Amino acid sequence: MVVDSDKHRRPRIPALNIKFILLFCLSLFFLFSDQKNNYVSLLRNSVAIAIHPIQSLVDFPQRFGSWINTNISSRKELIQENQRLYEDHLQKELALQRLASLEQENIRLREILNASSTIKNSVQIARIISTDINPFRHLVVINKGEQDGTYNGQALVDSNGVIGQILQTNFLSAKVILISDTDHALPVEINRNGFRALAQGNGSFDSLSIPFIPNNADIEIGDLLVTSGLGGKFPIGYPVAIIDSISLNPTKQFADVIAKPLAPLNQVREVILINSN
Amino acid sequence: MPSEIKNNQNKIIAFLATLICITLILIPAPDLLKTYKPDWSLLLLIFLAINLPKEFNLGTAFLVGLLVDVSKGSLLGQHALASLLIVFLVTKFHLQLRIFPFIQLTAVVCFLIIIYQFILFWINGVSGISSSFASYLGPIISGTILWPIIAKLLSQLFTFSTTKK
Repeated sequence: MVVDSDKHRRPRIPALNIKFILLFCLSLFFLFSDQKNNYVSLLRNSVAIAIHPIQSLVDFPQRFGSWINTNISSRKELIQENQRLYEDHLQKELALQRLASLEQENIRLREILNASSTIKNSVQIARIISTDINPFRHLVVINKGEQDGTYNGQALVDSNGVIGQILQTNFLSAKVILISDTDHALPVEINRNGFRALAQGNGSFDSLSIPFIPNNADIEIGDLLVTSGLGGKFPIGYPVAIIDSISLNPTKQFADVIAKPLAPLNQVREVILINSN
Repeated sequence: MPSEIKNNQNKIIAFLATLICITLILIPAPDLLKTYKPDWSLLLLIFLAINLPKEFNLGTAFLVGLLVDVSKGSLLGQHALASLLIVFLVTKFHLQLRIFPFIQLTAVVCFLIIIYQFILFWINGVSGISSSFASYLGPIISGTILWPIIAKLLSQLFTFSTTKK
């Protein structure tokens, strides 16, 4: 032990400087190629597969909790819940019947107008397995990846409204950018009059900025914003947000408009992936 | 204990510690603690570079950095570059750092985390990701507070071939 420690008293690390320069250049190369094109997506994918078990592990307590919940709840509660869900289902069914006839009518009218009809989209349900991975961004990870047919730019909604879009698909999971991320802007229109606008994330979960609205635009508090489909990524007609506040300032060119997203962006667990091609 | 077995043991412990770091990164934190999530992986790498610089240096830092990049969803190479630089500095001066009193070492670690956060901030800025100042300050505070605990804990886990101090 003593001899051993004497030998290692001044450990020399071989080729430290050269190694540093090489790895430094390599990481710079990764940074540039990740920013500009996707040469390194294969590498990122394989590392993501390696991390996937940990992500599932982190998600486990929540899943376990809900499993316990369903297994331990009493018969009476289950019957009540069943009753409630059944009534809910009936109501939804009724609404769907109306929707079906409206859809038919819409398709007919569109045919009259010679417009292409793209109302039906196939959907897929995914679960959010990891959130707040990065304090600077509003990113979440879902449990559907390339093998489930997800693709970059795919739109995500929940039962209330638009959530975000897929930023990056890995083999088993996908990274989703929420509409509240500061880097995200979504083409929307006002449902009442078709006025086009952009809904830009501002880093807060319960507000979106609507930039470039002229002071004299026809916009009111409580107006529903729906996707306009103009960006080419989101299908048309999904609800996004409701206008929350409008402050007019005559000295400024545009009004400050804030909208409140309909989907609870920081509470949602299950999301719906919309397949639009 | 022969040094080879010790080496392997240390490697396994380092691997497990890295996995725990990634888990800690991925665990969702309550809103209050969100901005104070420390850089777990950086603390681990600093510890390894001070105490076992022969076994774990730049290569380890680079690989762990890449893992953190993928799990955080940042640009690939961002955390790798930052931890590479920090570990390079630590490895260069590890003999000096070893004889520092504990409080002084903590101050140095604080300074290293500041450099680390600055590099992250800089790369974020260059690639056009805007973020608030507080989100960089939180990890510095929590990392400095947690360093003594983590260093004590890790020194219990690893076996050193060189006698410390």
